[in-house]
Order: sequence, then C-alpha cells, then structure tokens
Amino acid sequence: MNFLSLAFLVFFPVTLLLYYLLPKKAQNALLLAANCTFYLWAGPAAGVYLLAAVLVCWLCSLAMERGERRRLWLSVGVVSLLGALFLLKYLDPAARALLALLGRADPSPFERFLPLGVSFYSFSLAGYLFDVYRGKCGAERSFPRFAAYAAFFPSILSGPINRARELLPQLERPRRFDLEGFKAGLWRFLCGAAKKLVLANILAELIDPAYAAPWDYSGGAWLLEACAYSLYIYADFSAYSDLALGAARMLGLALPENFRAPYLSRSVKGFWKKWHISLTSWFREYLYFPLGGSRKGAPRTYLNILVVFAVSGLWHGAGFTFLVWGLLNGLYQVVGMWTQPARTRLRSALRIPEDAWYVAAVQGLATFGLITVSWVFFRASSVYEALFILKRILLILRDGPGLVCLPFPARKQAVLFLSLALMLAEDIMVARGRDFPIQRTSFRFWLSAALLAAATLLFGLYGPGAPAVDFLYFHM
Amino acid sequence: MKTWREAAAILLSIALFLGLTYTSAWLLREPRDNYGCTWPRYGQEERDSLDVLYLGTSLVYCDVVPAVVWKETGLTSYVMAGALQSLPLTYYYLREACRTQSPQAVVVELNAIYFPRYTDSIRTSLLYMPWSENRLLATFRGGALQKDLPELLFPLLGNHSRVYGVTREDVRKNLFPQTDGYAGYTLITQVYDQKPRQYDVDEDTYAKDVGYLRKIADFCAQRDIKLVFYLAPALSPLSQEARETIRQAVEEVPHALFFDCNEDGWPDFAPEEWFDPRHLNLYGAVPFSRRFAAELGSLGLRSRHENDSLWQERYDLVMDQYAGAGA
Repeated sequence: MNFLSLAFLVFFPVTLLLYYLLPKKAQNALLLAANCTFYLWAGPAAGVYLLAAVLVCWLCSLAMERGERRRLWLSVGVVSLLGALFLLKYLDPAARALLALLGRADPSPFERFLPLGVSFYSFSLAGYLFDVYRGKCGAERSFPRFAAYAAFFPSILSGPINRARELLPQLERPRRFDLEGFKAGLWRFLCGAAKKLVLANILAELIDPAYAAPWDYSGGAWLLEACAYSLYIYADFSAYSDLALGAARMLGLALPENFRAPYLSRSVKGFWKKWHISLTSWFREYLYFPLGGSRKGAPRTYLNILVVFAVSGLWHGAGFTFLVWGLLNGLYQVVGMWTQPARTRLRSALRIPEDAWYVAAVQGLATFGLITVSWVFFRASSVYEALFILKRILLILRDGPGLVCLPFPARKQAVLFLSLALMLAEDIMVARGRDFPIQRTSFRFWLSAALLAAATLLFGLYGPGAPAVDFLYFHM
Repeated sequence: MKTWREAAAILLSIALFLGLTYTSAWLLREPRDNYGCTWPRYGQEERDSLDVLYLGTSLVYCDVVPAVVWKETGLTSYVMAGALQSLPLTYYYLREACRTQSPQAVVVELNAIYFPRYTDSIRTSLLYMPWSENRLLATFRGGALQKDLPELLFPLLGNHSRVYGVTREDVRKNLFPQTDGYAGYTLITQVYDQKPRQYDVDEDTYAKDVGYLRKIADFCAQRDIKLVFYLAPALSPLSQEARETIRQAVEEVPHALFFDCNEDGWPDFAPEEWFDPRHLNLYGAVPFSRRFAAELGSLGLRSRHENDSLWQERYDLVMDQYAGAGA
C-alpha cells in the first residue's frame, strides 16, 4: 500500500481511530493487524517471506538470550537474513549477466522476486540481532510485539531503518492520544505528501524523458537534468521519510530522522552524515566499526570507507552503476581526508577564514557538484551512459551549453521554483537546529494544514497521465 | 474552552479544504456544452420556462432540434440527453431537471435499455451534473465502477492536472455559463459512416433497468407530466424482437405513450441526412424534428410561455447552420 493511495487514506484514519479507542493492551495487536493489512495489500507471497524473516530473527534472538552458542545463532540469523537478501537481489541479475557474457539469449533461470521493503527490514532485523548479541538490547519475548516492531508499516517499505533498541521500548508503553504530537505528525505527513506529489513528481516529469533518450540532449540540458535529479531524489526520498515519521508520530511513536538538510553540507563526509542517516549509521555501527573504523591507520581507514560505500552501492541495486556510485562516494571521502591537511594549510597561508560565507558557499557548491556527478551513475542505465552524460556536460567548456529549456508552461515553472524555495527554506531551518516548521496556534495550524492539503491536491501530479508515482526507494 | 476552540478550528479547516477543492474542481472543469454535457447551460434557462424535456442517449441530442419543435408547435423544449445515458441516469436526470422546470411532457428515447449500463460517457455526464441527492443516487445506483467512485465523489482527483493549462476563457465559461443556442441539441453536419451494422444488445442491462420505466412513469404521474417513450429512427435499428419487447414493457406502464420511429408513417431519410447508421445529422434532424413536433402537437400540449425572441434566435441559429451547411 502506498502512503499516497486512496486505500491508505481510508486505512490509516480507521487504524488511528481503533488504535486510540480500543484498550491500551490491544494497541500492539492492532498495530500488528495494521502491519499485515498494509503489507499484504501487495499480495501474499511477500507477506510469507516477511513472516519467515521475522520468525527466524525472533527465534535466533531468543536462542542467543539463553546464553549458549550465541555466535552460532547470530550467524544463523544474520546469514539467513542477509544471505536471502543477497540471493533475492543478485541471483537473477547475476544469471542474466553470466548468460550475456556467454553470448546466450536464454532467459534467466531464476524468477525475480523482490518483496517490497526487503532491503530495509532485513537490515533492521540484522541490526537487532547484532544488538542482542552485543547486549545492547534484550531479546523481545513477545512475538506480537516483536512483529509489530519488525513490520512497522510506516517504515517497512522505505525506512527509516528502525533500531529495535529505540522502537521496542516505545511499544512496551501504552500510547495515549497526544494532540500536539498528533498535529506535528499530521503536518509532517502533509509536508511529505506535498514534497512528493508536487515537487518530486514535477522533477520526475523533467528527468524521465532525458534518461529515456540521453543522446538527444545538449551538455547544458544535461547539466540541468543532472542537478534536477539531485533535487528529485532528495525530494522523493525525504518525502517518504516525512510521511513515515509523520504517520508514526500520529501513532504516538518516534522514528529516527533520516535527513538533516544534506545539500547544505560543506563536504561529502558531512553530506553522508545527513543523507539517509538510518542506513549510514547502520553501516557505521555494524560494518565500518567492526572492520576497524579509523583506529588502524590511514590506509586501513581508507580501505574501510571504500568497502562500506561499495557495499552501500550494492545494497541500493544490482548493477555496476550502483557499485560505481558507491565507490565514487567513498573515493570522494578518501580524497577529502587525504587532502584535508594540505587544504587547511593552504587556507591558512592565504588567510582565508574557515567560517567565511564565501568559503561555505564554494564548499557547498562543490559538494553538491560532486554528489550530482555520483547521482548520474545512480540513475543511468549503464556506466557507459553515465560517462556519456558526464562527457556531454564537460564539453560545455568547449562547445557551449547548447539548447537548454525547461519544457514546462510558465505556471508549472512557477510552482516548481516556489516548491524548491520552500524546501530550501525548510532545510535552512533544520540546518540551524530548529524544529520542523509548524504553526503553533490551533487556528493557524488547522487552516495551514487545510491550505497545504488543498494546494497539494491541486498542484500535485498524480493519477492517469502523471509520471510514475511510486517512491524511488520502493525499488531498492 | 481549549477543546472547543480546537474543534472549531478543525471544522473550519475541513470546510475550507472542501470549499477550496470543490471550487477548484468546478473552475478547472473543461467547459463543455455538447455531447450531453448540458447541465451548466441548462441552469441558465429561465425557471419554469420549458414545456417539454427530452431524455435519452446521443440518439436524442443528435436527432431532436428544440428550436424546430418550437417553430412548428410553439412548445419550448430542451434536450437533456447524454452519451449512452442509461435508464437509471435518465431517471435521476429527470428528477434533477424538474427541480428548476415543470414541463408538461417528458419524452424518453429507449434504445439505452439495451446499451451497456455504465460507460466512460456516463462518468462524464455524472461529472457535469449539479451536486444534489440525485447526482449521488445516480452515482451509486447507476452502476458506477468502483475505480471511478473517487473521481465522481471528489472531482478534483480527475481534473487537477488542468491547473497547468486552464485558460481564463475556460474559467469564465465555468463561472458564467451562457444559455445554449441549441437548447441541448448537438449540431453535426458531417456524413461519417453509413455502413449498416449490428449493435450489441445487452440483455443484462434490460433485466436490471426495465423497472426504471415504471419509476419514470410514477415520477411523471406525481407531477401530472405527460410521458412519451419512443425509439429513434436508425439505419441499423434494434432487432424487431428487441423492439417488440420494449413495446410490451411500455404497455405495462400506465399512462405512457409509445412510438417507434422505425415503423411505417415515419419519414425515411436520405443517405446524406445520416451521420452514421444511428444518428441523424442536421439535414436529417430538422425534418425529423418537424415530424416529431407534429406528434407532440397531437398530445394536446399548448405552450404556456412567451419568450419568443429567445426561441426565434435559436431557430435562426439552427436554420443559418442548416442553410450554410447546405450551401
């Protein structure tokens, strides 16, 4: 079920009503029933897989809790979860690649079956097993409560990747209706809907034709498209996070923030502290630190970073483009760390203050540019296509930008730029440490909510004829 | 106190949301007045100024020219037909139309009793109907598909994309609709395709909808409205058996008259007077309407209205087209 479907607009209010009206003891059972309804909407096969994953994880955690053969049960659980994830994601593409290498046109012998959200909940469950093994949290004895966490419907499809040690304690307490929390959740949800339906979908309408016929676009047009894709992927993914966090908040539960104004970062390293935070922190805690982190000298640190980002790339998709995207981001950071002392010395010599606005602006633009280059690999259908696009952009220096136009009527351009300005304003507030913006007084809040909802329905692109409205990360 | 303030704020915001979205949907609507999307301009007719209403499918709005009927009989009339209008929709159209008019006679074309019950055309017709109990009943009892219900109940879902292309002229037409010079008739002058063909007969629709004949009759009887059912002329009419079934069904409806324009005594039309095997073009519609007017005149109806200048303008408009098209 998609958050922005009519089915959800019926499902969620009914769930909320029952959630707060039924006895508090029934809340987790209701949440579990809601999880099942939400997830099984897409079909039973994915539901069976999810149930198996949750069951294996729960049993392994209980076995570890007993104190015997802890490492064995951890291995069984993690290998089952991540091994199955690996097979689901890569077996079919690997078979295709192999057949292509052998020059055979046979179809892949493996039918591709990728349950929705499998990358997200597999990591969440694996993280739980590591936490139980390390004693950071106890094994949950109640299966309904564990399943309510593991299949928590607001975050199951595209994150944030939940930490059991943060969500399970919340599920142990009864949730009472809190109007202010509910309003904060509703506002966050509405902002997410607006960001997706208006901003992300207009940008998608700009981008999709370009990637469908990359050879037809000039260097200048590709520069515009590449920047638009950077904005699109942020609008799309952070919109999903807003919807998830908003829905959870309305249920009286707090999920971890997934984005903190990443494009206002002054370095790629800073960007990765603010982009898809739940995944980045997962990799840091369960992969980077176990590899040795930065404690084993510079060369090993660089290697660890490259390994983490390569794995991150593969997590995002089964293709060389994703691997290149990951490695490129790792390389940016390695080069950044390696050149850091020299850059600091150079700034001192030139007496350029670190916190000057123009330094921040140049660093911010450079970071955006580097990240944008990496997104070209992320979006392109092949490494060759990505290199072609980047070459076209570079050739602007020699041949000029060529034909660049925004193929929208003036009204749509105005809505696009206004939406971008609002997203930037929100990010500036978040970067300054303020809360997600929300009206405080009742009348202002509810009227703002009504206006935002109406404007989203009016200016959003959805329904027949609109670009694909699924969230991008549904397909990870 | 705080709870009341919160509740008031919520109610106000819901009202604001609904007001904004429904108004937007109305302003963004494609301003149509042909092919049965007659409601906006029908609403501009002076209250209780119409003697006769015609209902049914495209076979009515292509065949019957109210201005010609007026010229022949002095009776003012309006075509409130819609593309593939089903009998349930005809019934609710009639109820809605009679909220502003009190006709002496209602004329209903009955081919639709064998047409598919719900189509995209009916969805369009419903979207142009004024918001009322009748629209809701037509939506739910007219067999609207579940996939169309969200748009039918919340039209902005269907036409919001026009926000980026709607013109001032469109908005003006929606805000200030003008009276329809053709009084619901859809003018067609072309000859498209006259190859006779057999149309599908949907027995299932007949079984479901035959009861609406009685409902329409009861409604007319309550208001002392004369009721006429008829079958439009066609190069490829319904089979003799189907027409006979309809005749027998109408005979069981009290006080309803019936005529079949495919029988002897009705004019035959030349090839250039047909648009296709079922619809007359303007050349056919004018003589057909003259003959139709004679039939209405025989019902003993007398015009109660004196807005001759408007109807003369309408007649002149049609006849200008008629002469122009002929030239």
